[in-house]
Amino acid sequence: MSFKQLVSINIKIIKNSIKFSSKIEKIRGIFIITVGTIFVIGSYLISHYVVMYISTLPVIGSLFLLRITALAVLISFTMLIFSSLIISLSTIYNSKDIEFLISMPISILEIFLTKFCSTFVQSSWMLMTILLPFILAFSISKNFYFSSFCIVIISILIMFLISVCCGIIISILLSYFFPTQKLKDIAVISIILLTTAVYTALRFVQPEKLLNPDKFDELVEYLDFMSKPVARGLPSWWVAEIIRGIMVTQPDIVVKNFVMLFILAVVLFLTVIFLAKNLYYSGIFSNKTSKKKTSRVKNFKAAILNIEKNLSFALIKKDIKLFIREPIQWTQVVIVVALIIVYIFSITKLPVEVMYVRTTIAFFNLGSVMFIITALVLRFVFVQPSLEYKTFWILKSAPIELYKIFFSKIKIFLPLVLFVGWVMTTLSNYVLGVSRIIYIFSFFVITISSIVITVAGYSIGILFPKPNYQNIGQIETSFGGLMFVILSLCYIVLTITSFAYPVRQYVLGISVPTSVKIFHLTDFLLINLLYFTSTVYYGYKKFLTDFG
Amino acid sequence: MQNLPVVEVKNLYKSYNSKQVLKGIEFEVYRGEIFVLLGPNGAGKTTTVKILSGILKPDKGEVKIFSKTVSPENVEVKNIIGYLPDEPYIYTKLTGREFIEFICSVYKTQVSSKEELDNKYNFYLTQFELEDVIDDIIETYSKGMKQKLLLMSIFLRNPEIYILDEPLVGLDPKSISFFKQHVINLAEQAKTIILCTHLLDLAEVLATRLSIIYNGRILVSGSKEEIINMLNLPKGSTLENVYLETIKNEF
Repeated sequence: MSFKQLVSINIKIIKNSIKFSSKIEKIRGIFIITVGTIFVIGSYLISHYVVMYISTLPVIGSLFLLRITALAVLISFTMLIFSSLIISLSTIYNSKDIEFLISMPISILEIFLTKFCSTFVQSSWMLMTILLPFILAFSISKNFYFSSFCIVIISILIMFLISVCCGIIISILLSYFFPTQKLKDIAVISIILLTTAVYTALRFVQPEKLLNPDKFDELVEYLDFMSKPVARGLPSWWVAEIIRGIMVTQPDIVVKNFVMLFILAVVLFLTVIFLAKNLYYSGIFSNKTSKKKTSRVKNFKAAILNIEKNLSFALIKKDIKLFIREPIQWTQVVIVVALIIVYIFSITKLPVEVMYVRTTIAFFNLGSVMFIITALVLRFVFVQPSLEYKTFWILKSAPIELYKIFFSKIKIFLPLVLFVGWVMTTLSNYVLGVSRIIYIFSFFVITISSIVITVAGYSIGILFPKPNYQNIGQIETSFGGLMFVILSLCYIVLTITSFAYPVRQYVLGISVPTSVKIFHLTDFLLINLLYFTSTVYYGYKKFLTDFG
Repeated sequence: MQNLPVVEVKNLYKSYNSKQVLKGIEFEVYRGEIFVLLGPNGAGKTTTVKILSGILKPDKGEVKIFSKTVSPENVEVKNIIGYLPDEPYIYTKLTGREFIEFICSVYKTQVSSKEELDNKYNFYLTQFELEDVIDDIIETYSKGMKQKLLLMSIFLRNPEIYILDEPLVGLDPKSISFFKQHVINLAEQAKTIILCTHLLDLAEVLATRLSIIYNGRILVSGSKEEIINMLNLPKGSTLENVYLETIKNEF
């Protein structure tokens, strides 16, 4: 069996998963493709509009556009290093078929190359889907030839190859020297801290100043500053230079940077091959044998069981232990904190001198907070049924009322979600300096919404579980995750719309009759009741009959 | 002793994604019996025991244990069942001891005092040779160790009915020997055991009565001798002969 045969088997697996999928799975597939297509077309249209708008800015237009492109390419480059590191750990070292493949008459290098391709595709497809519409819009607005567009895309793919090679080199080295679990923890914590740091730093750069003509004095200084994070000398900078070369029709710049990019890719790929030949095999077995422990002194005679009398407390204690001992879960709390800081910072920078603007922003701010809560619930709550799917038999066969099991997870995560919702609305209302009534109104809306979104997230997680996942991201981006985000977005729009009229009247200083207030309040409560009961009803039904 | 059935399974039907997995399963199990559900892979054994243990709801039919209907909502019945699944995934981030403590917190254990529980805990710990690893996190356990931990958690609770799906998977010879003897002892103490397996030698040694399940249907039920008579097989036929003769006509 050769590399070619291994690849063809993987292709066959993909084909069979489509061919032998059930009717429901086919419908889901069509739905995902439709949403994906809408996303790509939407991204293209928005990118086109933004690119056209920025291009028309006097003096700075083209320069700013190049800087944004360079920044986007740099972020993709760094993100891909870390995502390929994480993905390579599961595909190259911990995939379920690895021992089976090693037992076959296939060279280790061929197995490695198959896993390398798999890592490349899995880690880069999402970034390519996001970058492609932007690059297309950029190329069209700048009247690039088709050949020039192809050169840009090939350059980006080569840069992706460089990133993946970097990620895999780190993965091979760490895997050789450390046990897998610790290695994963190090990688996960690194990616989170880096992402948080880059995101926070970029936000504190205040790019919105650039679009404010009154701050034009600071522009040169700002552009100088903006050139620093773009990081000259990195492959992402070479890609940016290739785009610039095409824009200013200087082929020498394009060729020079393309050659550098290509040579680096070849060198890194050869390094990966060299390391794989020498370290990959022993890396796999150091992972497998690292679990052995030294024997302890027998102390079982002193063993006493510490049994918890309170059932709910026993469930919560178990869940908290599992959460704390899984760094992939709790380290993401860092992201939440960074998100809150950046969000509040963004609000402080809004031009809000007039009271009615403040109140309007505070009102629409509720929608933004609900969206952040949705993201939070997707990350922490929606994934829980899939994470625990295979161990659910323990609870389902136990003498515990099923509603208690169903709601025990919600009891743990709801306080966290409520806390984030309350902090974000209260702080942003404080920064905006809104009236007391808006404070109370925001508190009321966010409390109800947090409860509804959390319960809906958990219920939809039960309705569409993904028990066979390789990393947590696959659960979030599954069909169920997509459904939850779409439904929650519809819910947010309807919720905000239900209060739009009375808030508008309030902003304009026009009194609203009590009957109208009651009507809109009822509207709001009905929307919440509908989202809550429909998801809980079907989620609980599935939980009772087929879950686990 | 065997007048009233402890477990009654009546006309069970279950389908997954429009594929009929169970097609009218029926059998009864009496107190003190070791009842074996025998069948090839994919016959419907696991789905049957998942319904018996209250994890899944049947599309049609019902299961009664001590005349009480088993369902995912019936907490009372679940308290008297000790269930071991065929693929026992457990909380890998808990230690062995924490897992046992959690199980004991959730179920009513059939012991008179805390001391008795601790004594039994130490007994099973020794029998299954888990003393050195009981305070280690479960993700460091081998498959066999996880199986022993689960069996220990069930034996420790001492329930009325044991539903054990492929209980010997991953066990070492010493633990297999202990398991077989312990199951016989439990039956002698009037506990009811339902074993689900495709291991004919295990069924041969332990089964008081058995049912052969194939393609979602029970083909025959009874003691080995009863089935031999039913199939007109020579006396002294092995369970392997019985099994092969039974499923022969299904191909």
